[in-house]
Amino acid sequence: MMRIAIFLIIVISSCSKRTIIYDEYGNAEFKYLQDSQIELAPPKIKVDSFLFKESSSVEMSFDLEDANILYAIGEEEFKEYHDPISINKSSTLKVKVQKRAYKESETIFVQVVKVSEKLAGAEISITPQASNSYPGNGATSLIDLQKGTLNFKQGNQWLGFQSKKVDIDVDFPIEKEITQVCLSLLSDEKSWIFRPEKIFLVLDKDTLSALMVPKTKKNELANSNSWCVPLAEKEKCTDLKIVIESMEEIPSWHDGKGTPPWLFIDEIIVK
Amino acid sequence: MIRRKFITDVSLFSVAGFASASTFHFRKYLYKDVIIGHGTHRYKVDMKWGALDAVQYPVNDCHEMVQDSKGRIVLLTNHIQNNVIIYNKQGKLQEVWGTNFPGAHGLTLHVEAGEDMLYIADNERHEIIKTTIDGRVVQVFPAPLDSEFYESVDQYVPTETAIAKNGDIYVADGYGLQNILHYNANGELLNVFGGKGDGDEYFDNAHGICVDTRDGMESLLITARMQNRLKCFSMDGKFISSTELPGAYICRPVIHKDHVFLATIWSGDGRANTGFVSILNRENKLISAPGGSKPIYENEKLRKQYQTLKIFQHPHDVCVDDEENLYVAQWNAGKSYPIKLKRV
Repeated sequence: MMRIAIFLIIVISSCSKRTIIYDEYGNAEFKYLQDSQIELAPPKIKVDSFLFKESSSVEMSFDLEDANILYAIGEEEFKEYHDPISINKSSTLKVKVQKRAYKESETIFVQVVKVSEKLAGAEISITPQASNSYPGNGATSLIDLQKGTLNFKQGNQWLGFQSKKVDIDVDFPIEKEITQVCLSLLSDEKSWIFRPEKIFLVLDKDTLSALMVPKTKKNELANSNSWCVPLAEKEKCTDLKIVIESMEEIPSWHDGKGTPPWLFIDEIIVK
Repeated sequence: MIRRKFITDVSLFSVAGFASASTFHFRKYLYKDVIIGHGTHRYKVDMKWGALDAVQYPVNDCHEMVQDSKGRIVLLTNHIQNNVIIYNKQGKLQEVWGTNFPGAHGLTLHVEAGEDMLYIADNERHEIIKTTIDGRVVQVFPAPLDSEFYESVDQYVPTETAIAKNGDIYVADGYGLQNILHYNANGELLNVFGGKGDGDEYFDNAHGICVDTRDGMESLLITARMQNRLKCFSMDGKFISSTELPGAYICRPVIHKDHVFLATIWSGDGRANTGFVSILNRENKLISAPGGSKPIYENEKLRKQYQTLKIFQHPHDVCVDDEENLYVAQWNAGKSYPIKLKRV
């Protein structure tokens, strides 16, 4: 019995000692950064087409030893990624990286949208015009089914605006049935690009529907997502006006506080 | 009784064994010094190195660092309360000086007649200032308005200098017209080459420059940061070769023995806060990327690099000391002091 009691004391004592954090030199603070203090960066994601007619292939990578990529489509549970995946319906893909002892990465949200057709033949006019710094390929950039990347400075997909209000008029060549209109927007607060506050759909001078867009948050990872304004019921029209209202000014938590935010759009999708 | 006691002991032994294994696991995975980098160049990370009282010794951007002949680490910041902060290798403050370099950006050390001389590229003053190691100005290289290449001072925004064995000075106009300007030691302009463009002999953000003597001859290594390339030129400005480093926005090349060290300010598609450090071997192949993805060559082509660990924000320069440790100075990193990487 005596042996058992002594042994228990040793175990308890040794367990309680280990709850105190010491490094190998006996210092209460670590000299060097610990792996448990480090957050993993998000994985690399390659999408062959963010806007697709049949299916879209998504490839992910993360070249760090013993790290695992996890993904979930829609509300599904996260599962481990091994090979490229094929998506055949509009979905939001969530992707993150885990590695033992490290803080897992932020979750990246990637939206892929199935489209029935291009807005072929539609005429687009924008008031005011996009900034000379980010003119894209003009108004037609918004209906070419070409998504811009997060590196908005490369390519000609993104149109950038620094106006409180942007009106986009869409004239269809023939009458079209509409159930919702989506705008693909960039949010990148480190580059002073913020989502707008509101999107309105106007038909024949009547506002049919509106969407309050969630604000871009401090330290939010740059992202490009579609924000859809649904109609209460199917509408037929030949003329559609999309009114986008940005924030008055960049919020107080940001280095650019008090100045007009940038608004970036690369595509309009009419369903 | 004897048998019963024996069984109890075995049981306790099992519990103890489990507890011990579990605790070992705890220590191993929660409290382990992280080691970053690849292959032969791996490092522990000391985030607290060089941290000072930010009111007394503030920094804005920590742009560049060099080690002087006394083994001290010299930091250049664009904070005009103390543009130059000198540490020992343990990160203890030795001295500060400099209140007149608002655009302090490039820092090169060159030993002249046994004396350490510093060349500061100031991109707000639009000039290069040569000083002694304790801050006495000995020469100023003004904007080259006499040349046919520049019409106004604002066009000239120098970011870096490199000094040849004969004392000639090469200036990278990295935020200006992208020219490389070649002066003699007296400050006379001898040659101008480079300029903005996509071709091999041109630059997009000629940010850093150094003299490469690894093969016994002198040549120039110049970063084309936005092109993700390290370019090699002869001393008279002829293009020799280019090394592609996809996804690596490299700031300035620093040669130490056979290797080239490059702070990589952004990575991947060039987004903010995605930096790491790039280390090239003698053949200018990436062999280690502390904080970045493992370098993988496919058909002799480097796979696009990106950040994997969120340790660095915007590394702007790497200093390699005489014990093979690295000091990483960062631009736009919340006015933080440099990070030391201890070689393991």
